[in-house]
Amino acid sequence: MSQTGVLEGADAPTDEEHHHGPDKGILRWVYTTNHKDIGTMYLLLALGSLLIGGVMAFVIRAELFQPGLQLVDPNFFNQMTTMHGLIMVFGAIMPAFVGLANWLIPMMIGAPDMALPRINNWSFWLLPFAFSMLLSTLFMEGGAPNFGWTFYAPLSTTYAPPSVTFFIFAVHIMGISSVMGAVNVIVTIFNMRAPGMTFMKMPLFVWTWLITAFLLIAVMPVLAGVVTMMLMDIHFGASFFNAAGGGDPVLFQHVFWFFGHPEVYIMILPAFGIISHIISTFSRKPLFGYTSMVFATSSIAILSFIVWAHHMFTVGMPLAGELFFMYSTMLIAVPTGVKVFNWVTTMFRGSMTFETPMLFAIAFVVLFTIGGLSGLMLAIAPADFQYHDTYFVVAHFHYVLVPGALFSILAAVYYWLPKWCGRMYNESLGKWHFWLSFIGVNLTFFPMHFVGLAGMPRRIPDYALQFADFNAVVSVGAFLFGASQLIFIYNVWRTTIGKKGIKATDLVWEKPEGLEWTALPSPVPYHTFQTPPKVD
Amino acid sequence: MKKMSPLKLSLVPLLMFGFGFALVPLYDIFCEVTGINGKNYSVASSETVNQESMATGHSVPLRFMADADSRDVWNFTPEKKLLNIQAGKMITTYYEITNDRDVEVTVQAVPSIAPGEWAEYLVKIECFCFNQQKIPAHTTVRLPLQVTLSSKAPEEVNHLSLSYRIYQSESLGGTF
Repeated sequence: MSQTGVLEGADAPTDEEHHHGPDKGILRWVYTTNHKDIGTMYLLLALGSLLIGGVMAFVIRAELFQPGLQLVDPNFFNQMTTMHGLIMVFGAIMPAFVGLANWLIPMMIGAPDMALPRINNWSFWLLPFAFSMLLSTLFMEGGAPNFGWTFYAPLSTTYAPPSVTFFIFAVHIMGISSVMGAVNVIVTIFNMRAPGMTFMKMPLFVWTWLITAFLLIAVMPVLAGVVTMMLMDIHFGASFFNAAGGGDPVLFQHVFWFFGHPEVYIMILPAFGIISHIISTFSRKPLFGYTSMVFATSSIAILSFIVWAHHMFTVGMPLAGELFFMYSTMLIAVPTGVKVFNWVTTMFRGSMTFETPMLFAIAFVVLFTIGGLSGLMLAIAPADFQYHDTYFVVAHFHYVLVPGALFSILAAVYYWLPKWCGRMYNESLGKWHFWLSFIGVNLTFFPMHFVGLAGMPRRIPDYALQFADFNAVVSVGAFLFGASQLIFIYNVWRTTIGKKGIKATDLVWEKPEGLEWTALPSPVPYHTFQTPPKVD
Repeated sequence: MKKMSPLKLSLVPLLMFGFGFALVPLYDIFCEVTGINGKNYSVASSETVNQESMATGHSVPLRFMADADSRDVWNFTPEKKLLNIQAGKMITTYYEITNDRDVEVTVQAVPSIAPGEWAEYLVKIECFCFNQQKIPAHTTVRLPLQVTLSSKAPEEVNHLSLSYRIYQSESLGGTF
């Protein structure tokens, strides 16, 4: 612990002297304004959502294990696909990244906390209410939302179950939470960087989150707007999406995807930051092309606003529109390719070791690229008429969201957990978790490409007999993948609460870069950087 | 260092919430400017009517269609399926709608013109689609339609189709 780089601990007053330690009992978590506590709560909420959304995926895969209707009725199946999508996107991936942002951004930029700690507390505590409201629809008359996570009108207006109103308000609440969280991140990064930390010295996770936060404040309000229009159509006699009143159902898709496409980058840009840190550390080389990473991330964010109609090639668009959205979408492959090139080049001739975070990071690079390639295939407008609404699309977005976003979150937890709690996780359990997840995820999602290309439609509880074998394989893979996440939960539990595992050094890894490693002890104290570090 | 104000930053989400609603008219304006989407926005422009006397244009077959839906509770058909329309000349035709139910229905017709890139040349002078129509119980109503082909229509415009889909307006109140 007598590391020379450590600023805290040596001369900082202890918690007891200033009565600044955490409160005791449950109220600590209710009242807390500490970024580390709030980060932990976000991560636990995300884990809970992952389990709930995972159980819904189990229901889907159990029904699809063989052709025919055997376990659930089609309407409940539709509720499961809808809720699975909503819970995973808004409940698991997004809160997990906000949790990591809370934990890491202040420690990475040398700030004592987030800029708006009370707003931070409120942002988090809105979410349990939003998701309780969303989940409660499962027990309502008429059932939960059953119109797909994209909730296209008129399925979500004229033909929606009565519970759609609860869905709308749940989206409003989680939208407010996201926007407040994003404002907090932007203000923290702009105002609270340590002296000497210029923008181009910021760690990439901070950069990617800054850009993500701008995307969030730009598009979450559009989502709030589109659900408000639905509310007006359903309850106040408006006709935004109703042709009889002069509205247009296709308008819904345009407004939704104007939010929806930046949203998919909200779920992947922070992952790019995480992977950049991990690959650099375990290759024992500085990241190749830091500046190009910053510009590539910004380019992806800007392009994300002009590609939305590639989700709508088949709804009827003039040729000029099809071509514009096809080429602008393909353009995104360029900055993304820059990133993949930089990661590979960082590893090139590095002294690589393969601890669990690095395994997840390398799997991310390979499997995310597969998801990116199928995305390019979907971007080809004439080909998309064949792929649209098939399992090929399901395979594509699960490849970028599961071995993409989710793997990056798992990698981040393994990578920073020793810094957070001061103990190493169990490496062999981590490796078991990785390899079972890796096999499970590919077994689940790779065959979906084949059944999709052969014409199996998505969101259908039954399918033609020729898809039976692949679907059985997919279901087995899904159960394997889901079950192997229990290893992760046990590993985290035994490290944090069980207090097993060897004590971590302050640096934790061999020469990692960043203030959280070089300037803070492991475990990090409750309060850090009360006096800002000097960055040169 | 210049500080970022959270209150000022909060204006961005507020503006974007407004922008979401602004997309509703912007979407129509964009389609009007670019002439896509098969909608005809230049309804009864006086310029076209004045040019009626100068009619020297070519003749174009104009097809009338009624899009049906299995949920329809009425019969809706064009009186004439095909008429020739001369550039600059106006024609009048009718659609028929029959309400067999015991209650009056209020409907709204939504037009679509194909091919979409020529939609701007087909100008409606009078159309039952401009207003909601009340159809009394057990009656058949003739719905009038006056259209003209703009004298500006180039020679390459050699066929046009005008189709209508009827929507029931009471369903807005949730009685459908």
